[in-house]
Amino acid sequence: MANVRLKNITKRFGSVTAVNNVCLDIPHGKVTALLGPSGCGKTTILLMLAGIYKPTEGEIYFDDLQVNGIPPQLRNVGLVFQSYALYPHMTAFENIAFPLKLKKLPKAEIQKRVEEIAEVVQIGDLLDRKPGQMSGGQQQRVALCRALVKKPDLLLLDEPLSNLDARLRLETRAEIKRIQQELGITTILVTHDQVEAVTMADQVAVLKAGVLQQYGTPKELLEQPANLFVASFLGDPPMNLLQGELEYQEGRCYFRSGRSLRLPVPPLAAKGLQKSPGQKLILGIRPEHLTITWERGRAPWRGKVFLVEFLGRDKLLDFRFGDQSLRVLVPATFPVERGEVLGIEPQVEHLHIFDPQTGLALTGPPEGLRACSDHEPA
Amino acid sequence: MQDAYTLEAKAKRRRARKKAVQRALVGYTFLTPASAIMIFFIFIPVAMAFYLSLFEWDLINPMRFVGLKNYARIFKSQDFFIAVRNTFYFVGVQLPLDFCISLGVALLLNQKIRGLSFYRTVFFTPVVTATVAVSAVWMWLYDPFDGLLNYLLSFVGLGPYRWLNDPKMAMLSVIIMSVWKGLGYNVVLFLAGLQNIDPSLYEAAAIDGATPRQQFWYITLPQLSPTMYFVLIMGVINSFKVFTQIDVMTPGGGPLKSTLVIVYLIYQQAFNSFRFGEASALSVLLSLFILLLTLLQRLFLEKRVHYN
Ligand SMILES: Nc1ncnc2c1ncn2[C@@H]1O[C@H](COP(=O)(O)OP(=O)(O)O)[C@@H](O)[C@H]1O
Ligand SMILES: [Mg+2]
Repeated sequence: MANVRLKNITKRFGSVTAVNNVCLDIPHGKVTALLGPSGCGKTTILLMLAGIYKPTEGEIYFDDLQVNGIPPQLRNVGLVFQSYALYPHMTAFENIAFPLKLKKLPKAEIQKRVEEIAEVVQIGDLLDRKPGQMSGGQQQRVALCRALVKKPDLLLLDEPLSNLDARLRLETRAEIKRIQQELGITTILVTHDQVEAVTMADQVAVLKAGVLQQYGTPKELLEQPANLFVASFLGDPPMNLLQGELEYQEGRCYFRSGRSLRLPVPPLAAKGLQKSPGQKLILGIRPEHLTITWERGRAPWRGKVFLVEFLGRDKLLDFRFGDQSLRVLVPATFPVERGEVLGIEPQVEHLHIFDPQTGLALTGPPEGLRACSDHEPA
Repeated sequence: MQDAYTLEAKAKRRRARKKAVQRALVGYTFLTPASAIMIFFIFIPVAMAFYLSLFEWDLINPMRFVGLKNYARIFKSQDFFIAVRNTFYFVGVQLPLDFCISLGVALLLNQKIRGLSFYRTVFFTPVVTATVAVSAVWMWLYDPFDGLLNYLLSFVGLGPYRWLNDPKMAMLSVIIMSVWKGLGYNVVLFLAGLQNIDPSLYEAAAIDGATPRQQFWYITLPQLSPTMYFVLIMGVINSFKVFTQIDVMTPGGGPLKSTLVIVYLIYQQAFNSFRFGEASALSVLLSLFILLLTLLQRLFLEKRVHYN
């Protein structure tokens, strides 16, 4: 085990559609993140994989086995709940031993395996404590042990870091990654934090309102967002999005926004566009793909620094053009003052163009939304 | 300079003290109604009972101090031992029945069923109905000649039974009615306890491989143990004090004294025989016994209770 496959999965609670026709292929031994804002159906997908919920429509496969009707007891998955759901009346040891005890393993064997996994997760000194006597981070580790001790085919983590403070989050992030690699276990990680998804996962599925938006490696999602939602949800600081329209002059294609913003669209990016002047577009570019230039004459855009935000290693410059704002990332050492007028040059190979009606990307490879491509929608 | 500081500090302390006194006064004022009721209706009567138990008194003649003679008389009387035996019979049957049935009903109602509040009301109605009224109704049901129970049982070829008139069945009849009447109270308590259990514990247990039966054993029971403990303690106290339905349904202690329980004996001694000293001594003994039982339960059961 196990390649996990979700085929046209829909889950409704009464009139609420929590998950809508989602298809996913989750490869063996990798970390896959389900990313999306709160309420987009991430937990529901996890609980369907665990067997707690039954899909309203569609099928779930573990390898070639259709598991829709298989109860959680027989699925051999480990789940770390967002709230940890440790048994409050049991010590950490008893909590971790519980799945083994139910399998009626001999006492000595249970002892051995609990200690083994406690060693890996480094909670050996907590085993006598009850959940009420542990901090959030410690409970989280115990919950992880309980999920791992039965050597599950599939490890499901529901927002494993959301209840930890910033420092512990960083530590635990690395820790989970280390344990996952050490055990080589297929892992699905649910998170609403794009940094978490991008840093921990081998591939990320972005969800919005129960609908899969895009599925790919973090690099793909960052470099070729399939739509406006993915573009704006991923990346920190978020992508600049400018509203404007196409303009043609002397056979060349320009993007114009307001009076002061005009940018030649490179032929590569323009390829996917219909050549209709006046077409409304949204242009996206990440703050790190804008460069400040001193040669004002050459720069396509010129703007006055409206705000300087210090981010530690970087500075974020905020320019205003009419009611549109453009953020540019520069090194912290970059000498700049509020009110200064600077030239801005976009790295045109990193331009994204979106249709404002559908939100879909008009540039980039056509396989942008490839997750459901090989299945017919129901 | 120094003086000004000390003066100011003194004034500050005085103001603080005054404020503390004021706050205490407010607090005690709020406590007054409750504590007045407690003092006049609980503490003073309890003290009076202890005091009276050392006297002979029939309300008419002056009180006469007799020391522990009332207690000695109790332990020599046959009725006392009959009453003790009957009381234990009542408690020993009614309490486990009530506990198990109410737990069962609560578990059933805790399934996701429609109209939960309707059923809850149905089960709770007997609890808030006057015991005298309920007893009267059950006397009709138990009527040996044209009671509903005998009528229904005749269809399955049973009976007729003499129920409350039969020395062998009278106590059992009272117990059945008491269980029916008291059930709803525990059902509501158990239901509240069950609904307090975090549903994700069951999900976690299912994923860990627990069958529904194992989930009941490893999750429900330990999580419900504080409620069970409370129900048990209160149940023991209330069952030992059973009186009203016994008095209404089987007046005079029932056929061949078969439903003569301790509180009924106390009542007889006080208001039929006008032996207030002896009645008080009996009350003291009952109180001490219940106290002892409660302490024993705390000693042996409380460690098994899992408070989250
Ligand atoms: N058991 C349930 N009953 C009814 N609605 C539910 C239930 N579980 C989830 N939902 C609804 O489904 C949607 C998705 O929920 P969830 O999967 O918990 O979101 P996420 O984990 O992404 O925050 C939400 O609108 C939520 O209200
Ligand atoms: Mg969730």
